Amino acid sequence: MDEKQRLILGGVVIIFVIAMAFSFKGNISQYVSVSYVVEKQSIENVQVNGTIVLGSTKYYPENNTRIFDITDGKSTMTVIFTGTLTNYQEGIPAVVIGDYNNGIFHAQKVLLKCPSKYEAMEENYSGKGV
Amino acid sequence: MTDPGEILIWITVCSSAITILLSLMALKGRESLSKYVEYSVFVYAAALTFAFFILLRYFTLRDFNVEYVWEYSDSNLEPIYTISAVWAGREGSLLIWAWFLALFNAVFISRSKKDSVTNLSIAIASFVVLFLSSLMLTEHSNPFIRLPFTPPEGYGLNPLLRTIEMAFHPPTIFVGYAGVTLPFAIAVAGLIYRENWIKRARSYLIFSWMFLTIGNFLGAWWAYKTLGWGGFWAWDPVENASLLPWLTTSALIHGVMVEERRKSFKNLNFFLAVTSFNLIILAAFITRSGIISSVHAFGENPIGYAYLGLIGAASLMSFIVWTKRRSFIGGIKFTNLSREAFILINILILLLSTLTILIGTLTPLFNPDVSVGKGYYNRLEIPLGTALVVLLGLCAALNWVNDRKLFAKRGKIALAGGLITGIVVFALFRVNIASLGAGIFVFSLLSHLQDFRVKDLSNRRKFGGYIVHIGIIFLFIGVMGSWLYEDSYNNVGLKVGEKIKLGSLELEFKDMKLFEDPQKYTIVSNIYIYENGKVQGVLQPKQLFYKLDRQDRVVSTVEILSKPEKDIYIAMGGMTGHFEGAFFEVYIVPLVSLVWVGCGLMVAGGIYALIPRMSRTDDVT
Repeated sequence: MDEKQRLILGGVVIIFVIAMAFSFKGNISQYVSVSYVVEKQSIENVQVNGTIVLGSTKYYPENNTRIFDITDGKSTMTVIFTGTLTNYQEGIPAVVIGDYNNGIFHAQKVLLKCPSKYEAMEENYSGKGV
Repeated sequence: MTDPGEILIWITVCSSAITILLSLMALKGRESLSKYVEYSVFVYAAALTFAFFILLRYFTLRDFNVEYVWEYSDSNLEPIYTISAVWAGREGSLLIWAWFLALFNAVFISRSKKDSVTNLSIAIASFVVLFLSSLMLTEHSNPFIRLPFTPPEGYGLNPLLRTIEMAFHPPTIFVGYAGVTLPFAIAVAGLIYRENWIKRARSYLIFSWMFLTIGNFLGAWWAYKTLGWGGFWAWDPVENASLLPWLTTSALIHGVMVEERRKSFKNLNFFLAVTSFNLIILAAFITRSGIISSVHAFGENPIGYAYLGLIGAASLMSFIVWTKRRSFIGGIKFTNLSREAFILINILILLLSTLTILIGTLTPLFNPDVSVGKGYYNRLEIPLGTALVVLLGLCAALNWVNDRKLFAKRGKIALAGGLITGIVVFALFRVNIASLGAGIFVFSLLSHLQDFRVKDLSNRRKFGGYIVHIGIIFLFIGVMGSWLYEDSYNNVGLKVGEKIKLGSLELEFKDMKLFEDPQKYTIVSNIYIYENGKVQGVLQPKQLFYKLDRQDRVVSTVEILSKPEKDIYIAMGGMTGHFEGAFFEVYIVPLVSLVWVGCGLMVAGGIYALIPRMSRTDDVT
């Protein structure tokens, strides 16, 4: 490669890396714990990590709504979610995304983790996504 | 008593170690040992073959005393999924990966002349067999562990894995994984002995690339048809893991062409061969260790870190070899506006794509408290993909002799076609991005069509590549349509007999029925779909209730009405009252059929390139 070719290639890569850094910054989101949310009492648009508490699920078929508890071992909060969840299971890790107020977490999205070893990190989205 | 299967794994460990020892001794001058190298490779290939069939036998016998069989099957599982359950879990899939690798090694050693490059390559590839089979002897990855008692019934295969795509996705991916090891081993050995490694590695490279393509395609198809998986591609770490080596092997296939014709890019190709291997091992780490989980990571399998060790070892070895042979490799030479220049840009795009996906995928490893959204990938990979498709068009217009007049002529026609299409699409639909996308699609496609010559049909690699490129162009337009213009209606509640209008569609919920078979209960709903007053079809979304102890036994199936211009996609959620009504998720996905056309063409092109050569003209042109 001669000087000029190197310069052009280098320039393209640098511009791209800058674009990447911006895109990365704009699309990264923080997970918070159940305890953090419960302590805050009211918080909007957060994604919370936790485990679905065994035996806590109530399903209301008349509006396809589930109410269940999620815990991080220290605190527990109640989550309400309306929509279809395939392969739903208690006792597994889940991420809920939504708002918390008056002691209830209103989830827009629930991501379930598959408990089998092989699928330890595969995700179940609550919707098919865009 | 130790299970016979486990004894076979021990035999594999021993014979792969012996293979390494013998081949290294053969390299040190004791060439008479070469034929014993071959025998010991056959021993481990045979041992793993028997091990696989023993495990399969345990599944068909429903021997729930074997923990792995208990965990992944039950008495009512259909025959085909009883077979595919063999690779449904970490233990069994590790076994088939090692098995395929052993078979590749056996084919390689029996077909190659017994020289130093072969001996060293087989030593390296056997080390990977040794590594994988040793892992199989650890607690979390041994498929032959027996329980102290025999449970009367199996836990059952995850209902989501009971699909044809999921039956074939793992074995195809693992053929790809296994196949990439040889090009890497041969590249390192070839460089040490200053020999042309490409000729020996080429067919394994294309073969594994094709299987990676099929594997990714099956995975995407499965994800599309599974509710809650974010469509055919959601930039999930698992999906990214197998896309990464596909990107670098694609780059390598192109780099190899330049090296064969111009003796340039040696540096880059060596790097790509090493990186592809490392990314395969990384994929195993990502899918198997349970460490990269956006949710609280438990580090499910501490042995998972061993994969990172293998990556470290392979990188270090390659780096040392590279520094010692730098003078042999030479730099990257090319002239501006030449095919090599275009191929270099193409490789650069693929590498930038690899790098950005890698960063996004590995971020949770360094900071478990963050997640990287789809937006990150879409904002970077869509422009890169678009650039790649434009480049494909330019590349097809320019031949290897760099005929600029021809380039200008073809370019003009393609450009005119693209512009007209863009304008027409805009005038008809008033959509900015889609007009641009359609214009680029036609530009690239026209450029390719002008490049077609009947005599190329006999040049398998050239024509195969040509088909793959057209596949990518179709994939591009399909991805654009389905990602940008998808409509969704969530949690649509309907009573039996009720009609609802969704955009231009009308859905009528005719009835709902319950069926029972030995495996499960099924609720089937009948949905009539109308558009402009006419019936388009009937879909029967189902809810399946498997008769298993597992709580995740309830599954919503996805039913799709496929038309060339769009898919109508429905899944059934909960039922209300006593068969009175139900909830549905409805998606309207434009142009997704072109995604499958594109994937199909890519696979077909790969197969065409691999058909044994029929004439002497089969060379890189």
